[in-house]
Amino acid sequence: MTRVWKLLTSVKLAAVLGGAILAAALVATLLKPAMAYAAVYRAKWFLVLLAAFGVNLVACAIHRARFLRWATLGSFVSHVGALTILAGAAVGAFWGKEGGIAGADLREGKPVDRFTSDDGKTTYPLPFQLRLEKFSLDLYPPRLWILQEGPGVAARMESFVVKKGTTLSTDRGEVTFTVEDVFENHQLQEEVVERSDENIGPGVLVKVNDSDGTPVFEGWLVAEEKKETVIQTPHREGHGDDHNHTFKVAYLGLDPDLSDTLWGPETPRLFVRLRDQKIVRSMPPRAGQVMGLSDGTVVAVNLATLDYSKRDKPDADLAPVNPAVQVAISGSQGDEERWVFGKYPEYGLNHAPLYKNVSVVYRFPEDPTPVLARIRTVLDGMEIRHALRGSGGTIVDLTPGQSVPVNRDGVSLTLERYSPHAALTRKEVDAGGGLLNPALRVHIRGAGRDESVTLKNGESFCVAPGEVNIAYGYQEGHEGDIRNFDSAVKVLEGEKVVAAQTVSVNHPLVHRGYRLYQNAYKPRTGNEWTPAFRVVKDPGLPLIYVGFAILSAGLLFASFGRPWLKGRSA
Amino acid sequence: MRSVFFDLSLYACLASVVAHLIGTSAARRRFGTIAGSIMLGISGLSGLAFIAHEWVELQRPPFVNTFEVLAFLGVALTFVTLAFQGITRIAILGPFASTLALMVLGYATLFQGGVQPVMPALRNNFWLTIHVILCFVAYAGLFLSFIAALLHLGLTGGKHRAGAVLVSSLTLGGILCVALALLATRAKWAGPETEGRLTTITLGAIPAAALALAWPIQALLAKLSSSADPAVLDRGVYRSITFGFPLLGLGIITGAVWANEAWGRYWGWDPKETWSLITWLVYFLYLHFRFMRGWIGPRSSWFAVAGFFAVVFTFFGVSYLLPGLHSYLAS
Repeated sequence: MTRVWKLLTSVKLAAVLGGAILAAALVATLLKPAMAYAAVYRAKWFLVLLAAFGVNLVACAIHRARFLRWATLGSFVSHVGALTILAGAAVGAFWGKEGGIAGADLREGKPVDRFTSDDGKTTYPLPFQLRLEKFSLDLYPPRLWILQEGPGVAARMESFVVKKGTTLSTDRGEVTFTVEDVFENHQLQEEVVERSDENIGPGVLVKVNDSDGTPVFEGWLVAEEKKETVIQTPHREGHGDDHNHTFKVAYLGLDPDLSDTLWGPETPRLFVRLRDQKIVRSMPPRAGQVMGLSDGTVVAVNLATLDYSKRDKPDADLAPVNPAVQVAISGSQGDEERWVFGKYPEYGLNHAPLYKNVSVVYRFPEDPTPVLARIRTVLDGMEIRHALRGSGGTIVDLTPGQSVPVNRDGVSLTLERYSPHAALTRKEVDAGGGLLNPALRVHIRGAGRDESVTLKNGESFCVAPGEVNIAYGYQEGHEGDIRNFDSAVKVLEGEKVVAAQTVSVNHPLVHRGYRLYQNAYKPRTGNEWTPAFRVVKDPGLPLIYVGFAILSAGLLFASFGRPWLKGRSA
Repeated sequence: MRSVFFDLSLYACLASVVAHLIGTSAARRRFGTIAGSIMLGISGLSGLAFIAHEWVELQRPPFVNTFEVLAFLGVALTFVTLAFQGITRIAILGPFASTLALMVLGYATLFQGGVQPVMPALRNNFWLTIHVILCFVAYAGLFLSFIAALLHLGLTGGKHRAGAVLVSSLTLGGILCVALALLATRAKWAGPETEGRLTTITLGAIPAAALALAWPIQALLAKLSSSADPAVLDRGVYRSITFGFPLLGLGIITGAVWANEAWGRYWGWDPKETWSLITWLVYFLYLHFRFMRGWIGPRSSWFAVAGFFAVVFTFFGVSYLLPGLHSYLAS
């Protein structure tokens, strides 16, 4: 008996067992996780090893207890703590349950009352019902990406989490970026001001009334903006055509040509990209625009037309039937001319005669709203006259205060006032309400620039062609940009809601001894994050935590407490 | 994000190394110890300022990526070294510990880059702060025990000195070659396409560097052999381990509590968890052999050397070589 006891309490046994556990764990970490679990961590022999270590600990603790002194107190307490932890683990292993709820079992609004073990073989009932109300992704704002490239330098893209005031610069410091503002919900607040002291273009105050005289719009139209204002008129019985409920008014100012083309807030743009790069450069489809790419290729706009079949006519006479742009590409592979079409973006991707690595896409905003009224101001000698052109092409002279019908439904337009110096001031504001329309305002200094640019989510900006590009947006697929997964859940017992909580990673739900942890995954088919819960009922957990506390106290006392006491008594 | 405080910490640490080196000549020993300690203190304080500044700037504890934790380790090393010097008065540790702190801070600069968003599991400021501080202060203590152990072995002479020369020249060679490789990648001399070749060159360069370093290290140890009593260093190893061991234990425990809060399991045999346990067991065995079987002297110092490599592997090796939940560091 003494012999067995001696062996049990020996350091040799502790060393052999500790060394064996150490070696086994070491080898296991080199294996693939699934294999490591099967072959080591969950294997019988390894558990026996841990149990034997536990027995050795018990024996040592009892042995030590007989010679307990201040000098060995810390060590003794530590052993008791370690033992408590092992006991807690054993309790958990025997009486604990763990598993998960996922997939079809976890749908918003559908109560669940069971969970499935990890191997999928056992289903455990829950003593309550859980109802997922809403699952949402809590995202970080998009990141600022900086692409640096150049001849003989591998293109390098870095992303930055930025906030107001963040200053970044390129490697050699030639360009600096200062973040002036970060918007979660970017909106433009517009206001018209009349400034007599400045040389700014004219504006008109316009009022639009419905057939029965109800005002539907009143506001300034500013020539400088070159913008169409969309006006909604109330739906009326008997006018089935939806188109008639919206129309646009445009103010051309002193433009010589009434039919000048105007574009709304979304302007047509050409997007140019090297196939192996993420950064997309863009430019307006205007003849003479030139863009340099990082490999030395140059893309220039030769010709832009609203209608490819009538491309030899001036745009002013055309409707946007088939908008197209002809680009000239030159570089190491020679010269190429390519047509790209606003309504057929894929065409340009598949019909690259020479530069297969350069993709050029023309995006033309689709908008079926007809322009029904254009107002023009005419300087006729010394007299200022205003002319309104309706959809039918008719031109009517307007004097301030006068009303004219703009369509057959009886909608009329009144020119309230004319101001020779009206300007629109725009303020970028954060309208609040979360990450609805993220944007970034960044000041760029260097490479010949000293200007502020607003980048919305997904937009890029070419700072120096072929050298520096910036973009604002998410990484593809959003991983790495997730702040947390949030599940609003309700706990029901019978029909009664007994608890409501938002479960997220690091904020589990605890109810009746069950702990529910937020999890999320992407199913093999599909790209959407799907909620999942890990469910744990571990009666050993209190023991584990008590063990943690005892072990911590023991370790701290042995190392720091006792020497301190000794120092004080000496 | 590197700031002026970080740079100050780095340069003060460099000044501390220089002062300590001046102090190696017997006539200027007093100056070396005092000036070296003051500079190390300045380095540590500006390191703390850097951490505080980061904390405010990033609006989260700055203990998330490799750069941040290495910077913290460097700062922890300066304070742990100063405290240890104050208590044990082992002057010979000064130059080596400050050099190690300088290397750690220098290494941190190789990992700085854009600040990435923090993944959901790490977004628990309370446990993140406690867990990281405990682990890395523990690491600092255990790093110190490694230096003391190598010095102890080196001053003991004979085959132990030969072993200490081998280990320290390989370690130093490894640190320098990997630093150069990282520098090459950062400076774009090497890119993804040359990565394989770079690894081969680095692995080949380590023995060469070790070979070149072995003789100077041997000479240094021979020169130092009369300046300290090996037994004092042996006791130094023990004391630094009794500092690092409980803190590492607490680090593992807080990690387990946090894992339970975030994932619903306090222990999952994740490689990082497993390796931290392995490391802790190595020091556990060191202490038990020392107490119960009277292992004092070179034998136990070899244990401390092994423990250091377990620490380094837990910190770096697991993040970069083994798959697991903690591999977020690799980004």
